[in-house]
Amino acid sequence: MLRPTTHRRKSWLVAIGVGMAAAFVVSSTTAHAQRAGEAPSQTPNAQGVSDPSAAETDTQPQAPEEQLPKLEEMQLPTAEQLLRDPQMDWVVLKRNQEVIVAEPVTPRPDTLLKMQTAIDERSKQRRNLSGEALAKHREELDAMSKLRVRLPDQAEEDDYLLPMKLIEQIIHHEDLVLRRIDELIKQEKFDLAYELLNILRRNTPDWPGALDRHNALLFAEASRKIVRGEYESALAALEEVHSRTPQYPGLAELTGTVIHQLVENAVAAGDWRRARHFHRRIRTLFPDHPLVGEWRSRFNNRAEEQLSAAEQARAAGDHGRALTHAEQAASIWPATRNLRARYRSFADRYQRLHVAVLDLPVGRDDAAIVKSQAAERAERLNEIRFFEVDYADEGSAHYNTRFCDRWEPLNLGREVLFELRDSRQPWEAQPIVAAPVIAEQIAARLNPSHPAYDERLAGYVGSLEVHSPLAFTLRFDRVPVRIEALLTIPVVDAADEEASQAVAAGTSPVSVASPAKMSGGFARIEQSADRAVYRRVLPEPEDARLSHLTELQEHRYPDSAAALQALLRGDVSMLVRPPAWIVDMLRSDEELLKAFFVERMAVPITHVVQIHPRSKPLKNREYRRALAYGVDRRRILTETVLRSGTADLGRVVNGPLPSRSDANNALVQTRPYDPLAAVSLTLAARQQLGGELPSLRMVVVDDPVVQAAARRLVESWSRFGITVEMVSLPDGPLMADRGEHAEWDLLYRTVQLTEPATQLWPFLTLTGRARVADLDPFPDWLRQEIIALDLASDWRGALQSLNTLHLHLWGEVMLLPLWEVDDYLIYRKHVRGVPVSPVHPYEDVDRWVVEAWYPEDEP
Amino acid sequence: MRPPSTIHGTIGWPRAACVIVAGIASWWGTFPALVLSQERGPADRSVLRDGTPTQSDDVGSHSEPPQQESAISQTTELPWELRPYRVLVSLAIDGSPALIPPFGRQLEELLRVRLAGVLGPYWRVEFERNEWLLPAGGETLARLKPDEFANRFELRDVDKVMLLSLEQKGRLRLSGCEWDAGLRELGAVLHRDISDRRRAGAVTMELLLDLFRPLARIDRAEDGTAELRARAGELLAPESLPVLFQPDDLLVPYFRYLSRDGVVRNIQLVPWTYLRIDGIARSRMTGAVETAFNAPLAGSRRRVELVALRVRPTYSATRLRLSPRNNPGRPLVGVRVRVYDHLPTEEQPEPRMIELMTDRFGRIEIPAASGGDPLRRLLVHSGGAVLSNVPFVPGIVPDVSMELPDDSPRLQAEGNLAIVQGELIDVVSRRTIMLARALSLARKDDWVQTEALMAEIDRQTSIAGFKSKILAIRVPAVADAQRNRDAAAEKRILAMCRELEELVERYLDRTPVRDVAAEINDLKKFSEKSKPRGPA
Repeated sequence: MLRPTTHRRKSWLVAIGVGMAAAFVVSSTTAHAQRAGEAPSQTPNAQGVSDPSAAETDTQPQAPEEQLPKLEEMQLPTAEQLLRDPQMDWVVLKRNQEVIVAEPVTPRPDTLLKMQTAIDERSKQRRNLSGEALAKHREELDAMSKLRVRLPDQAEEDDYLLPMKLIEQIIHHEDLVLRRIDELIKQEKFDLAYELLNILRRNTPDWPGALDRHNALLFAEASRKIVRGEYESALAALEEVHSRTPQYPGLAELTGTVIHQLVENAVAAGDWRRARHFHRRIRTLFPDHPLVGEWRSRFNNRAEEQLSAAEQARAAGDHGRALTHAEQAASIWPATRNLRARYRSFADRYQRLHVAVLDLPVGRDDAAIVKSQAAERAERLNEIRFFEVDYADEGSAHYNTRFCDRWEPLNLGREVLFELRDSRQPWEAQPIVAAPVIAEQIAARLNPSHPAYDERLAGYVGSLEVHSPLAFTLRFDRVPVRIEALLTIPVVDAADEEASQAVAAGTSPVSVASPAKMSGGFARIEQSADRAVYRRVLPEPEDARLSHLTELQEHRYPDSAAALQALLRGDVSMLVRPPAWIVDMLRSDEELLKAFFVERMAVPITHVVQIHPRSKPLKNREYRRALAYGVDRRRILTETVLRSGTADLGRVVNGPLPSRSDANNALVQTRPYDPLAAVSLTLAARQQLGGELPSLRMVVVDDPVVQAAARRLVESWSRFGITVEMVSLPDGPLMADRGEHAEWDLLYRTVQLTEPATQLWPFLTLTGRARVADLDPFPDWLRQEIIALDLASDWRGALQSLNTLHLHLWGEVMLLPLWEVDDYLIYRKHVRGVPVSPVHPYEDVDRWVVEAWYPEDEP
Repeated sequence: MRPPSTIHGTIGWPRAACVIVAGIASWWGTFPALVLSQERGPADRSVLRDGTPTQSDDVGSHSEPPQQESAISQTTELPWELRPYRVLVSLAIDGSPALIPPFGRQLEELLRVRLAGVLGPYWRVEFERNEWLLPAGGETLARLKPDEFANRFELRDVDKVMLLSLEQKGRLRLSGCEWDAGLRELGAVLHRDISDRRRAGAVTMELLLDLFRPLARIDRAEDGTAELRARAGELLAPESLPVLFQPDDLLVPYFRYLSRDGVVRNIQLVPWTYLRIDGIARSRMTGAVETAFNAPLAGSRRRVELVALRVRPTYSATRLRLSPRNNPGRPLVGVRVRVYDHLPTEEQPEPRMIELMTDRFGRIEIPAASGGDPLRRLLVHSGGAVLSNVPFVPGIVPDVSMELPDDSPRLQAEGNLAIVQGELIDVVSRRTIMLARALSLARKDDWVQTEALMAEIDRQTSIAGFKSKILAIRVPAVADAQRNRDAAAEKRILAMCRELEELVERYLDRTPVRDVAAEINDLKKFSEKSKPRGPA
């Protein structure tokens, strides 16, 4: 029996035929009692859409005008329909498998089962009921046995109630989606299938069959990827299947196929870590898989082969090659029997350190003014200087020399007697150097016609006298503030072929007629695009009780993150000049601190923008000041340079000197970010420069952090109408000669001034030397202040000059100091002998001891 | 007159090994045997710039007592323009087998004949075989110092000594230098290669004429011109000979201070002064005075002779060393020196110029003129000041030194004032924008912001603040200049400070602030009036 729901019926429920008309009861729960006798008058079309034209016209029950579609006639909705159209369930009637398309019914899924379960539960409560209660109970049971159905465009009418007994099954919208997914899998339209599945799983995560479809989908996709050779992606898909259904049919076999191929590929590429990684994955997924044992055996055999080769190399006296084989064995299969002891026997004899870097030296350019980090490191390894800075604090450097037993100032410092060492420790990288060799180096710097002429040194030194092969005296016309600072001249050079041959031939190191420079240090013996190898020139004796670092390999990584990854997984043991965010991360991780030393370097890295002294636009004082006021240094430092929560790793500075230096003038105040001043000064500069601000060219050194910060600076200046173009370091000299056009206006570089009293002049002139002629572009008063610093005869006078210079450089905006960042060295704890708070990453590198270690963790 | 600097000129020392003196022109009993009392140093011909020659006998108080001089009474017997040069040619020949004694004799004879033929009575030549220059050669000659000449020749009655050396260095090499006995001046060492021994006489003759530096007496000098008389100017007819003065020749003047007895007590070069010959009539000449001083040669002088020596650049360059007057041992490093062809004129406002800077030893190398007028103008700059502006002929001597006032207090003040000026720029620029912004806010009736901005403008450094900063710079700088007794520097410091004070007063004038404040007040009043009034 059909019951009308409202006066204004827009829909009807089916005309199910003669017999069905009585059975198909639709009523509104609210209008049920009030409006008995009315029947639906509207016929839904095949899709269950009501015909609105029938609305309002017929309030009496009438025979259906068309039949309901049968199940076999129903078209499975397309993916687009399923995604776009409202959700619909198919209510399949027992009679002729006819289908009513309705809005989603509840409860779901298993609607009929759940309804029946509810009825059964309610029926149990019939006992002891009578009278009115029983009637009410029956009434409730009757209501529970009817499915509440809402037709697609049934807007304002109440739901229809359809007796359960008429319903054969309900095909829910989700089931339709799953059926469509099945179709899409067959068609290999995985993306669309995933989209449908994702929506389904997001809305109804536990829908029956969804998991199976997901597995099937992943499996099918993995199969297709295998065909395409995308093994890693396939493996990821299979692992996902495994995580859901470990026993999924065919999963183990397919996974084995994929892993086998991946391991084979990794082995072919020599990437043993990767091979082991996939081996671990199959072992984790299917411990009993035949591949697990097979590859373990193969790895083990290969490792044993490498260890045998290492033994042979050692027998042949080639300890470097022996260690390479041992490292290979450790890389192939760290679980090789007794590997740790066997490895140590090689690694202790020939100690090798792997260092992660972001750049490698390109050739050798001793004359370069702005040297790359790689060039500086290479120089430090290649050369050993007569005096070297071994400690720096509060703006003053402390020097040491490997060559002297003692050096004694005489005659109130007007002469210094140097007594050279006549012996050396076996581990030391420098040979025994005779006085004539050093004297020749010094003499070359005193000779105006020699390329190495050092005007500053020549200005101090009056004469040089060699007393004996191991003693010489320097006499000064003027007493320098720091004698040692003047004598940081390279005495030993690993790249000196003549010297190297002499060493090899056994005619060196002690000979009065020795070559100009002695051979020693660490020579670069190999260089490729991503690796540079340095080896100790003077080998340690075979019978040394304790060996030291013999070889240092620098490995280039594309970025800091990759370098950090290499450090963490044990590919390298040291990371030089890490960015602040890596330092911060390591410092705050107690677990990592157990494995690594995070050593702060003695001198922070100061970022500074230097102004070309011959730049025409920047001769304008207002323009320079506008640049200084138009940069929010603190913000760029925090957001771009440090990129970490802690601000203690860097700070804004007011000069090129380390902020802790006594040479800084206390009167200098931090120039704030002042947009108002920047705007007004820009306007003033524009007016003075003919109505238009000339654009500037800023040379930026090749350093990722510097480049990023430079981009921020450029962006900041552009807000004030200042156009700055970033350019690379020029190939030729940085400074143009007088009268020549300056190729750049600004230079963004990083500096570490350990000894400002001697380093400030070359820093300001950008020529790498203290030559008076290079001061030509500076104003006379500034030039005289720089000269006064150089002529200072005592430390106090030098400090006073530095204070004045600092104040005046800041006041005249002769450069734009930005910030300083603490420099760090991160290394594994198996590297010993690295000095505390070193000045240079490779300080005292010849004393380092690298204990045998290799990564044993599961990759 | 206060000369701007002091000069110490060092003449290149001959280097040679042995010398043969080859002749003295003649002994004139009337010619004074000049025995010079003393020079300041054996190696230097120097004249204290501050110690400008005076007419007092006490000039050159640092001189040693005069030596005995012979034949003083005979000095005036012949007029200057008729007085020939007594020249001693001392010829040294090295011991090479190729240079056998007859060769020397032949050369001497040849020269004697040629000199007599060419110069006639102009030179009284005497020849001498030099046995003391060992080894004979140009290098030994270059090492000789004026004192050695003085010691050897001061008792000889000669005016000029031409020391020649002949050595076999693959080919014959002739070297020579001239020493002026009257001025105790040693000329540059010149060299000639003799490829053909048969031309030895001709080449030696040429060298002798090139070495010779004639003398002139300055009779009168005023208003930038001088009247001169060439020595022996009346004795030589052929005027084309290079030994004679030529138009545009440059001469350097010397004071010869005589005692009551006519003995030369001191000889002093007049520094940074040149005479340019512009008119010649036999022995009479006129010339223009190029000098750094107002009237270096003016005034009457008793017992002072004013003599000029012709100079021609012979070195490729002259090295000039600058040092502070109060500490000559300390070099002036990094000082900018401009060398002009001539000072700017209306016709040529920007003459050719080279800019040099002293090195760590306070030195610059000034190249000699490759042709044309050798006289240059040399300006020493220090910041915005010119410390020295002198005429200079590079290439006459290899080394010259110049003492300058210590300009460091003024330069330091200049640097400090530049910093204050920078601050002034900041304040003025910021104030301009703030005033504009305040006015803009006032027009939008944002009185809180406007008043805050005006208050901030008032907090900016005021005129008084800047003046106090300038005062803090001026006082110690002036004190330093006074301590150095450098009135010029003091004056410049005061001028710089005054200029900056004027800038401060001009740019920090309160008028614009008052105007804007008044306008803001008007706007505020107008705004208050136009506000709708509430019920009373």
